[in-house]
Amino acid sequence: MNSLTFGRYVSLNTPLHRLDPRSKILFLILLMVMVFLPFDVWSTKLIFSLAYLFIFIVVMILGRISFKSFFKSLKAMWFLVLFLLIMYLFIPNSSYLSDYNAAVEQYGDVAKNLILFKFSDTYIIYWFGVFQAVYILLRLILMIALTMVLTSTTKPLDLTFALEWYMTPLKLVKFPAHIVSMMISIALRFIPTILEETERIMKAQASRGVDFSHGGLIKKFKAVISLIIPLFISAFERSEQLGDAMEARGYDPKGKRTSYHKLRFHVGDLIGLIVVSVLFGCVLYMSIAHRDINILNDVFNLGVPF
Amino acid sequence: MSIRVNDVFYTYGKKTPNETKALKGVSLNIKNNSFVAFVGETGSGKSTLVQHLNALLTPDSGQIEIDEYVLGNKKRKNKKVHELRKHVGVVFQFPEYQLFEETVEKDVAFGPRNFKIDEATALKKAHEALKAVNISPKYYKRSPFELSGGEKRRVAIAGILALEPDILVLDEPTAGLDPQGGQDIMNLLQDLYSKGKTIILVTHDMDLVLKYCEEVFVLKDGNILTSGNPHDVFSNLDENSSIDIPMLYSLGQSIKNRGVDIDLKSIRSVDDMAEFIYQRKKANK
Repeated sequence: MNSLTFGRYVSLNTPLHRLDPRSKILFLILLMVMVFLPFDVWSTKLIFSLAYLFIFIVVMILGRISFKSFFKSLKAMWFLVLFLLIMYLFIPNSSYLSDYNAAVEQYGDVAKNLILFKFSDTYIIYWFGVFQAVYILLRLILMIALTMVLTSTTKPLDLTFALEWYMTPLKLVKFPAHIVSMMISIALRFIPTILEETERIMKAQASRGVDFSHGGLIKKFKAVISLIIPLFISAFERSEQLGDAMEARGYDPKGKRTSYHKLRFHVGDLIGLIVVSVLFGCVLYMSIAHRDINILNDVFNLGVPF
Repeated sequence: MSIRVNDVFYTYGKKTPNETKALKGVSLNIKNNSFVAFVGETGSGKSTLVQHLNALLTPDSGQIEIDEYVLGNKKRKNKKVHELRKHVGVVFQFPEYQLFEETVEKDVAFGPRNFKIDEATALKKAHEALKAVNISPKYYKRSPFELSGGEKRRVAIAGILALEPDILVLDEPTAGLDPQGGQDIMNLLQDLYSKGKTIILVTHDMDLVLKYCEEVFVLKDGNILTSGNPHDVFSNLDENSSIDIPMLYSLGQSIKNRGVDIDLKSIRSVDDMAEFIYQRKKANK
């Protein structure tokens, strides 16, 4: 069950917790787009990645998110790391060749260092593959991390309210924004309940001699059946009961309603909005205008052209 | 089989913000072939304690000895735990949620089958267990989901009985059942007890404790508050304890306070009280 704690809401009172969920969702989207904006030159990519990492660490500290649980959740990604590395290293990519040729033209023989391994004259593995894999991975990690920041600093219910707010314009085209957000909030609400139920049924079946952690595939499959069926049955029963209870209290999905929870835009949100949009604007400009930074080579004289 | 629980500590959600200490040094002994009850308010640690008895939870410190099985804070080999679960059957609260097979008899036989008992024998055991809980053979081939609440409960209990455990632990077996259903289950437990099994009952119903149990353990905040036979426990309870003294016992005390010579120890059910009044009346004539 421990791996499920990843990104779970932690009740604290930090500036990030106090932000309006609507602005948090907006920030998340902007930052994610920002992380995925493309650059041409490797040194730019590197510098921006480091900057993103720095921003992310600041955000983590602001939200008092435990780095330990973050790294724990990254451990589960080892397969992805391996997969990406193999893909980017061994699958021939014509852009590596053109990058390489450009580097040779610009820097001369030093650029030969960019060849990692030469299988034959036509099948060459470049360092670019490694760079590319690491770069993609870094962006993926940043994306996951940003989402984790959002979910661990925002109550699931607040998130649904925010989503509902974003969906309100869709009401013009008869989109049932309220019904959808109610469905999402009920689904979220029942995740812990169903987890609890799972644990309970597991224990009950373990008392009947089911071994969930040992045994071969067929045995495990059978064990899981003894868990899944009761779980489904109780979930269906529960949903029926909930529906009845809601109806008994006069719930009408089409009815007009006011909300007890009022979302408010504070000064903190304004500051956040300014910071995030300035950041986003800068990166967007640099990306679109192809403003690349080549300083690494000049400053550090690395010998390897980036 | 006898149970020795020795200074057991257990904490839920260790090293997380919602860490809760459920057991804080519980020690108790339960003799072979006894009928005992764990009582206490919700959150007192009853259910946690019960889950230690068949190694669903392992203590943080302290140990539990059940005959030759010793459960300490180190995770023992799973094989032994598996074996232990055959001897200690735990029926959880609302056990009807554990039903899943296509037919009633298959569901009850599921337990024995997990302990590598061949199908024919398992079915035979299942039929015996179903007979013990008063489920008529015409239901055997039906789906367990077609049964009524009380019947489901009994089938679920049969699912544990079919393992033929020496120690049977039941968490609130009568909760949510109609009076007759509850009575049937208690009669069954009484019968199993007279056949030499150890019964451990977790309950809020003090009438049951008074009527059936030999010994009662009162838990509070993860500790054993008091223990002893129901009579002693009820007579020593202070006013602010969360345990309701059973109506019948209060009646007995009230009668005694009026100077009537009544042996409270002998009054365990309505029938006993009726008998006492009848005898008194006969003596007065």
